[in-house]
Amino acid sequence: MNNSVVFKGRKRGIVIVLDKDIPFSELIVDFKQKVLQAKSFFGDSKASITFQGRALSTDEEKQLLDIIFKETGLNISFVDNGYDYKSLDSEGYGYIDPDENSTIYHKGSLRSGQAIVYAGSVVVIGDVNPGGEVIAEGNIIILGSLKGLAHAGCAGNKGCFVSAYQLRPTQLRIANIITYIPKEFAKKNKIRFEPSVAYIKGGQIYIAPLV
Amino acid sequence: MGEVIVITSGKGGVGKTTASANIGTGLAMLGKSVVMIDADIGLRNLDVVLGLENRIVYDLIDVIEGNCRIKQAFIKDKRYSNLFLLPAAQTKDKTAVSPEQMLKLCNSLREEYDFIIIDCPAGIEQGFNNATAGADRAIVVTTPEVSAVRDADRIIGLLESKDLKNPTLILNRIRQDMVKRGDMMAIEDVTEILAIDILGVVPEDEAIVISSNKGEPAVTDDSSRAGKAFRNITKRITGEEVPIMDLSADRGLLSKMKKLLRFGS
Repeated sequence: MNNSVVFKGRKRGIVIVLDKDIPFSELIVDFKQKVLQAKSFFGDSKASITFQGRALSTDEEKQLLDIIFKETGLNISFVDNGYDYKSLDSEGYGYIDPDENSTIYHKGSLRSGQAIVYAGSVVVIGDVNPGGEVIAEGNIIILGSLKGLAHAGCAGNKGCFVSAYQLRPTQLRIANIITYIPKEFAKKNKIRFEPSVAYIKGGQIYIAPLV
Repeated sequence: MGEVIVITSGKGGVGKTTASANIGTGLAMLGKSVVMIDADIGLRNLDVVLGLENRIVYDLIDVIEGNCRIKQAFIKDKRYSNLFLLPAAQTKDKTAVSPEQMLKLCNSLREEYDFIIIDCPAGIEQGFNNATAGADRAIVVTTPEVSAVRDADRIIGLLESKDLKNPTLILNRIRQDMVKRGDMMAIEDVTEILAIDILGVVPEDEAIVISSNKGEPAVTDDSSRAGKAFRNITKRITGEEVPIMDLSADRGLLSKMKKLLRFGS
């Protein structure tokens, strides 16, 4: 299965995630193939298109759009090359989801065995108990204690953060980095669990007080 | 060729998970290569008792659905490098796995490890069917209570109908002082009802609660009586003959003091 080109349907339109590592000449072949496969999915609807994952030159963007024009009946309302090279690869927190509709709010605590998985940011108004999981492509904000598992930027975005009033997760993941706070360590160093934010810094997950 | 052992009970709370953790660790202490599988999907505990919950990335369901290779889901124990845990998923339920898939999994592990210990969930429904599907032999855990013994009897019947003949018994949480007063069933009372071979008797021991909370199985604790009972059980599993320990032996400072006083008077 080739994942260099991925289509995602969103409320506001179609998001096309492009691989940034392969040469453009290969990408365009994959792109054409994917467009052909997705032809019926597109139909003759009207939608906006957002390119993500790769910086495109104006010419490259035009070539990709030409393929869509030629092969499908899709009516493109506008093109958002909302790609900011920093947003996917750069570390540190400050990532703001470009789609303002893509945050969900959960009121109430997540108990063991309950999970929220969402392709955007998640705000939990309550606690996340051990055994509970929050997995988001964007940021995770917990207005309560995080004692379970949180995975921010699960699609690979290293700019995402996790914050909580009490940040004491069983396990914490941001993008492809996994960490945990060993119980013995927390006890020995008398770690006080205060409102904190966790983000990636220097290839590691870094926790800083939030005030 | 390894052996797949399922640890089951019917009734909940009798000590299946504790027994699994201690037997698995005990076998690893004897130098065997051991995989422990938590089959209690949705109510996983074995990872907590072993103190490994914060290391879970992939679980049993990921393995079965092919999201990862088996070895990626294995969590190596903190103390013994020949001991591995395959954790259950917490956000799924028992129907996420079928007995055929468990059988396949057990058969692939059997080739590489000496022992595969399966922690069975309580109940007699799908979770039980999954856990027992790949097993070569079964260990039934019970406590000396009428209700637990009744459920153990039901489980033994079900195991026999699944061709898991000759299950063995662990009698857990026995209190010799209560047995003496006639307030608790004695070992003989239980074996008379269940009529299966006894694998071990584990005395009630505070060390179990402490060790479960700390995530370190009691079997590693030389001073714990329950730990000693589990060390004996693991030796019996490997074929060594060890006599059932004498439960009336003195325990604790208090009983020693009492004895001294009695001697003095």
